[in-house]
Amino acid sequence: MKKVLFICMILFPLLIKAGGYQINTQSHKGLSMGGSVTGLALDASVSFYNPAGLSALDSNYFNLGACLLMPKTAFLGPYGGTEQLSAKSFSTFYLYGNYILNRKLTLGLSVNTPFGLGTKWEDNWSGRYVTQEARLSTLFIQPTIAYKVNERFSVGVGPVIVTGNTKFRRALNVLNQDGSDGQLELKGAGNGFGFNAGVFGRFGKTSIGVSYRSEVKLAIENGDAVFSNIPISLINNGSFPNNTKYNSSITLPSVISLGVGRVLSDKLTVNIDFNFTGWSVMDSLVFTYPEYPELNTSSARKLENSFAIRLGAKYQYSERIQLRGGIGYDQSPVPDGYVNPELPDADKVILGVGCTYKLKKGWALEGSFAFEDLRERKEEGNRQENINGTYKSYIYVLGLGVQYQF
Amino acid sequence: MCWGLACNINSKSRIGMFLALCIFFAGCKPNLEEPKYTSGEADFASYLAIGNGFTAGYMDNALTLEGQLQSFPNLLANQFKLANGGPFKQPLVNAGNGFGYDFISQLTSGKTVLVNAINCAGQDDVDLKSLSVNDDDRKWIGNQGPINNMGFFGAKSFNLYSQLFGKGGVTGNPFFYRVASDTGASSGLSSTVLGDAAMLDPTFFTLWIGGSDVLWYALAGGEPNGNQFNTITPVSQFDAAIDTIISELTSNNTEGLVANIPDIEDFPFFSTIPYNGLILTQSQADSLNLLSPPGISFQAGANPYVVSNQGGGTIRQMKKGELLLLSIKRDSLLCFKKGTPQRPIESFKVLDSAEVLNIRNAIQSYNAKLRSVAIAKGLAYADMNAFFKSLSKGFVFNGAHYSSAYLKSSVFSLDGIHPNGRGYAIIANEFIRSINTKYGSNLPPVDVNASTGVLNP
Repeated sequence: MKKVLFICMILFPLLIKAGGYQINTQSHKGLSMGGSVTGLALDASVSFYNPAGLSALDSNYFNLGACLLMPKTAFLGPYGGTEQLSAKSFSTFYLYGNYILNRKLTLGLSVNTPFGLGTKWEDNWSGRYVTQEARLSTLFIQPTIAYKVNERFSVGVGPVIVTGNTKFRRALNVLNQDGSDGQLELKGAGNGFGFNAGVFGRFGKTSIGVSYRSEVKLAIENGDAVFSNIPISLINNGSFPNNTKYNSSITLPSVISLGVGRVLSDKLTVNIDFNFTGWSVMDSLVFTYPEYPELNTSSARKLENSFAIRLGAKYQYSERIQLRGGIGYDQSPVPDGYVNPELPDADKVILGVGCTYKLKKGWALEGSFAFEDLRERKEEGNRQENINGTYKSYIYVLGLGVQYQF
Repeated sequence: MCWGLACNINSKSRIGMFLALCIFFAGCKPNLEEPKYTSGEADFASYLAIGNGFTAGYMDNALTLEGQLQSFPNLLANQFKLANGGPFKQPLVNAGNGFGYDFISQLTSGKTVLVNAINCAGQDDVDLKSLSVNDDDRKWIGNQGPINNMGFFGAKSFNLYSQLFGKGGVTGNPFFYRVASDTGASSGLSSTVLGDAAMLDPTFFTLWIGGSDVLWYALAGGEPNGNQFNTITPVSQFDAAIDTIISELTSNNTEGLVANIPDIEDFPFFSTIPYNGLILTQSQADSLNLLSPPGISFQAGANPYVVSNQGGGTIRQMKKGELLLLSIKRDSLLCFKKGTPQRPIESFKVLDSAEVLNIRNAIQSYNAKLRSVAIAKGLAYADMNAFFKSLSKGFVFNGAHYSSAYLKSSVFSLDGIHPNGRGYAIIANEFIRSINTKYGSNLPPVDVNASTGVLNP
């Protein structure tokens, strides 16, 4: 069995895809409880939600799962006619494991994709000069150690190694004689480092967790900028290259979480979470072209720190079946004036339901479904790209996973 | 709730039901309702656009089918249709090069396009090329009933009620001649633009006239040389013309919009070549200084061009604020020492301070008149003078950056005066804004990026 686990751990990072910038699909227990798990230690995913919570686990867990995210966005431009974000589903995955080393120390591993983005519009849509496609995928790898200070308190910490890929594609406002636009595709990759630390306390039937995940700066260097369908005259006079390199960086924000869990009965446990995400680090998105500095762009994003509140419950329906449900409210970090079709964001309500079904010999199946309802958002005075209109999005998330307890 | 129920059934159908439920939910797409558009107090049932080449959709030195389809009146009419607007008929030419008058070569021609070329300095560059005229496009089609777009290239204010304007040959205007209901073949007097327009029984009009009343003077470098056509329409004549036109257009209390006239400095034709574009090294400056008459001197860097004074004979250096016409051959500036004491720029390619002032004063007076009649008659008023000024700062629409410079991402067509498709679209949006404000309508703007801009080879 340990061999199988090992192979899975090696292989799964290869399957990564991501989307949604900050993604709530970091575990099925988390997803189905509206993301409200910081004050609880439910399985090995606690390495991610709160490293200190590892000490509260009374057995070793291995959790593996994948989610399919199906975002649906409608856009109504100011000149009438609704346009749809082309249906683009994407999947995320996670892998967690913990190992109780001794009475004081627990080791953990977290591999997941807490940030990502995937938007794709029709190539000839009205906002094509802003974006046709935007993709960010990240992979967070975090070895973790937790130390039990006493029967009440524990602390935990882990370094975070991040690798990310980006792809941005848009039309350029340089027209050929047939009226067709120029095209730009930017593909890059970058790495970054951070850490995740937490404190966990248990007071009878109440548990409290606080965690801090640091910001991570992904430096994208020597990315490939491919210019295509550029009129020859503009290549000849040096206005545009065919291909060149670019540099950029994306800072993934820090997250502070406070969770309080409470065992209400033998069967029912509830939790409330507060998250504070330091989005203000994403002030602008800058692309520089060392060989063609006149093409440099800087787009203000002006993201604001945001707050989320989440309530979750789990209910032991029978010995084999655990049911979960949760609700969350996420404030959008995108201020009015900077709502962009790359990230058509709005305040959202997240509803989650899920179930764990115990099989034999420590194995269990997990499933969950979440529905994210983004509030209708009307942008009237876009300051960066002057792209205005009304956005409305739903995101459906469907996930399956396995758990092995030993 | 459903999940709780599902869990009571056997485990296989439980998973099935769960998946079915998820797929059911996931099928729901978000929906956004388009607003209901209303015309407010305006009535767009019969829209009359009246004016000069800007109203016709003239661009790239010609009246072409693509220009007509992208004309601001056509774009407006499309939006009007969202709020009970009626059909809109334009005197369409055939697909192809169209026909017009090339400001730069000053000849009759089809549209101008950009082509790749090697310039006099041996560098890769672009050049303008005039395409041939299709003579079919000039034929009379005035028997096809009332036309909604009564914009005619070259039309001055007083031309709109002139009985010579629809005549063929050199007397009339070839663009109105095409559509005039009577070209004066028998009586010697043609129908008039206003008279033919009245056949529409318009319920709404846009009037944008006056640009041509100064433009021909400017294009002649301020030197009409006895050609009446190239003079500035005197303010008193303009004012009287506007009174006549407006009283005719509003005789049935018809609602509409009056637009004012942009300044010529805001057109690339007059703003592209700087007065001080003569760039010299120290040694070039020194050698020019040796040959220069008194009062003319050069230094390293940017120097004012040397121009002939009107009447010829004497030469001088240009002053800031004076304008050069885009019709000066670029290669002669680049390689052949045009603008130096040896080869001064001809005075008819230059608008000197006095000429610039004549033009500016006329436009100011015209605009004061246009504004006062708009107010007196309770019409919408579009301040296009301010709008064209604002364009020189550049603007962004849906992520596309635009400028009022020549070529590049310009909103002007290759003739340097008329807008291109995207330019006409932003004009349409400015008119819509003005109409919505005045009449309480809620017409949506047009998508500027759906029209064509500068097409590069």
